[in-house]
Amino acid sequence: MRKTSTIGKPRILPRVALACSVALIGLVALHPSVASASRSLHVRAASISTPAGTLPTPDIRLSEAAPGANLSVDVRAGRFELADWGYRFEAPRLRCALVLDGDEVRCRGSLSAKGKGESGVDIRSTPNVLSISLDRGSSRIATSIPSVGDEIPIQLKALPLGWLQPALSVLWPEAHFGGGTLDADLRYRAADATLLAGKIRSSGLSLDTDDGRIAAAGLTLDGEVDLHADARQTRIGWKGRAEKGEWLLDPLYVAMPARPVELDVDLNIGGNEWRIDHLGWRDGTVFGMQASAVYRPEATPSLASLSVALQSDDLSEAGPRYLDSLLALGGLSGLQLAGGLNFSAELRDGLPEQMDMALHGFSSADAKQRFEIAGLNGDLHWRHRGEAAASQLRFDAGGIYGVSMGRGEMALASSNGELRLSSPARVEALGGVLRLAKLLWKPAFVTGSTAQFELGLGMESLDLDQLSQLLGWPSFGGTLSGNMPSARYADGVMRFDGGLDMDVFDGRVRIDSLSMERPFGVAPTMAADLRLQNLDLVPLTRSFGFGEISGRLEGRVSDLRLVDWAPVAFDADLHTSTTAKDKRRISQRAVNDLSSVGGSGIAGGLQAQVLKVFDTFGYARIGLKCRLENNVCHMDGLDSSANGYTIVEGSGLPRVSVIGHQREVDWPVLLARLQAAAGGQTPEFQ
Amino acid sequence: MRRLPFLAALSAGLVLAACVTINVYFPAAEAQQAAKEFVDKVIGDDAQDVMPAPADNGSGGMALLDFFIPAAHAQSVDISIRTPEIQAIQQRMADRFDASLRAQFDAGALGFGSDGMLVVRDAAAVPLRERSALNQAVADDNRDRKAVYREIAVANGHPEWEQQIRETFAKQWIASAKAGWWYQTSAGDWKQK
Repeated sequence: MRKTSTIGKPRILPRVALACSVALIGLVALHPSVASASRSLHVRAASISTPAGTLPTPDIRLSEAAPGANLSVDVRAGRFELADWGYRFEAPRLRCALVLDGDEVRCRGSLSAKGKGESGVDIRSTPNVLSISLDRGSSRIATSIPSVGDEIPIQLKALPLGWLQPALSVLWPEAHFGGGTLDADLRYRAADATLLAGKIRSSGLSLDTDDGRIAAAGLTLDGEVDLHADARQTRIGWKGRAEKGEWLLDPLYVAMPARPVELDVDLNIGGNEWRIDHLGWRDGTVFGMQASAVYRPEATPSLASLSVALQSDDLSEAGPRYLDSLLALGGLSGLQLAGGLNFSAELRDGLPEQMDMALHGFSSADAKQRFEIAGLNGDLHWRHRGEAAASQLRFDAGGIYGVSMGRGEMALASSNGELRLSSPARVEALGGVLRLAKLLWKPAFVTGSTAQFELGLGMESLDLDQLSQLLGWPSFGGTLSGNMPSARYADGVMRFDGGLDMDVFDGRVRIDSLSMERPFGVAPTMAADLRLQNLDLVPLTRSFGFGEISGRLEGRVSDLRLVDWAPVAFDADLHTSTTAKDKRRISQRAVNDLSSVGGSGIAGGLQAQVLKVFDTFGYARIGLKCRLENNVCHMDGLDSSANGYTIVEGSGLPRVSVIGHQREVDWPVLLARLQAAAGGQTPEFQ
Repeated sequence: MRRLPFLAALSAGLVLAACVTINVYFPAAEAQQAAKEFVDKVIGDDAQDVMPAPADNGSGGMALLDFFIPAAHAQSVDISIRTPEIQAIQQRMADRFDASLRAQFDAGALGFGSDGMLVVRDAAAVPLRERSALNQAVADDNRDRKAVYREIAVANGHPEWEQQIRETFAKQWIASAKAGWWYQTSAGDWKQK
């Protein structure tokens, strides 16, 4: 007997929204009115539609191989679509053997679709419940649909996450699973409000996005999900643990610790608004974060509010795990951190309102030894709106480029987006005192243009002997003092007004127009103008191992520019004073040394013989000019002629003059000559 | 003949203007040569020998200026990159290019930005574990680039040339790129060479 009819929507179907094709095809096959006692039944329908998907052109065959034998069921369709979830199966086919046992109808067999392979299927129907399970290898999907009540339990076992790719593509089109499995024990309800709740464990979760900026690999998530969705909003809750693997939320990259991390999320989506009521991450005492936020994708600014709090009791572990990827972008990779930190920030309408930080036994050391601080304790508060806040910071020791600093204390105040020093601070360094008279910071969004950063620095009697040792210079005594009342940072350049005085060699070197670029960045640069006044040449030449010259040195080094602490440009004019009352004598060795600098060499013959007789000579003037540019020193002396330039103008008898001949000397060559002249004790700028 | 004083004044004005102009003249061809020297050393000597079209900066006017102004005045336009510090950065960039960046250019993960900087254009082409290191290498390289453009301008006595130096380099990175590498057009689109 052949019969073609259109089957209406069975009563049970609306409840099967999620229970994929198995349930739908299975239900049609098992409808009791179809399975009446006959040898063969063939049913064709135009389509079966359910709230979840449609099954066009179903073709159902029931057949009995022999009278009394089990019925075999064969259901085929052109395709099966769960459009809302992104699934589409071409040529789905269910084949199973139907067994009637009292109230129970059971059908076991296989389910296949074009390109999807074949799975085992087991369908059992009793008056109270319809159970469907689908197996392939170790993976299993099982559900039981009760005839009363509207909650459907769903069990998933070792389900490859790839099977969920179509659903993921609907929710998040740029994302794709790379691997992993899912185990779940869920309750599902698809009445007026959708509910999906229960335990989920995802192992080896690997996910990537088209632009590669959000990704995870080998991650395990284990916890309870609680999803409620109705016409107005979707509420997603997650409470559980994350462990193993790694993840990237560009630029933040985290390789997960061995110990599981507690992860809680409460997310509310609806009415053009994403509300994170709670986001919690707790990695023991190493690192914790709590955040809440309201995000309105269509509004400007889209981040309506954000509140975030971070804690770490052990930055030595939290640093490498959570901060390295971020620090590396700022050129601070490998920054050593230790101690504890609490930080919180509040944002409203896209702008920070306040930030608070508390530090406990904090210490930090740069991998490139540019700076370090130890034993930092206290708090730091910044306020944009609301009441002013005072902060206090203390540290046991610090250092910048090898300059060690002692204990220090800073009192700061903040209001209207400005953070400033409320009373001058002092710290001991290089045997003297560094004074911080002013410190002011205003971020760009407060000033409306660029961030404002100002410093007021003072130095009192810093020991030049220690400083010169740090710089690898020959040791010389003296002090460095000065006042730079206001330094401003703009366009990547820190400009200091005021100046410094080096009281050295019984004279003074005045440093003006000091500026710095990238002080802690690539090729730090320092520029300054130097004025030399009345330096006693006796101790100076002795310090630099440069023979011996008596007299006074003066002059200038203009437009000095140091890159990586090595001079790359300057315009120097150094000469002896003609007004000082000191004796003006120059030793034989110094004559030799100066000659080699000028590339002239000592003439042989009579002059050399005469030179050997005398230890020192009188001079009228000594002068040397060098304009360094593009690694070449353009040399000059006291005066200049076609034959050369005078470096030493002799006086008295025997009269010795040194004439330089080379006008252009490669800077490294000149440095090498100076070094050789000083017997390996030449200043070497590092 | 009241026009004569006027013409004289005009000529004087032109000569004065020419003197001012000489200060802002950017030596495009020399800068390009310097950029090529630098870039080829970083990318490798076998870089394609393609010179980008020199930027139009009105250098046609220079010939005229040369006529009025002795060459000695105009010759301080040799863009030099010989300072050891710039060469140290160049060496570091070359090492970094060989160690990690070149492979990512080959893989299409990196591209030359239109602003003379490196851009991660397709992080997905890099295994997750290496992405963070790549971000760091790119950030480091861009810091080096920024310092190089600035220091070349300053070392040549014209800090205000920084932007033009950067534009010249931006063109040269693209010109020296190997076939198959990606670069960004001035409109911001990505193109494969």
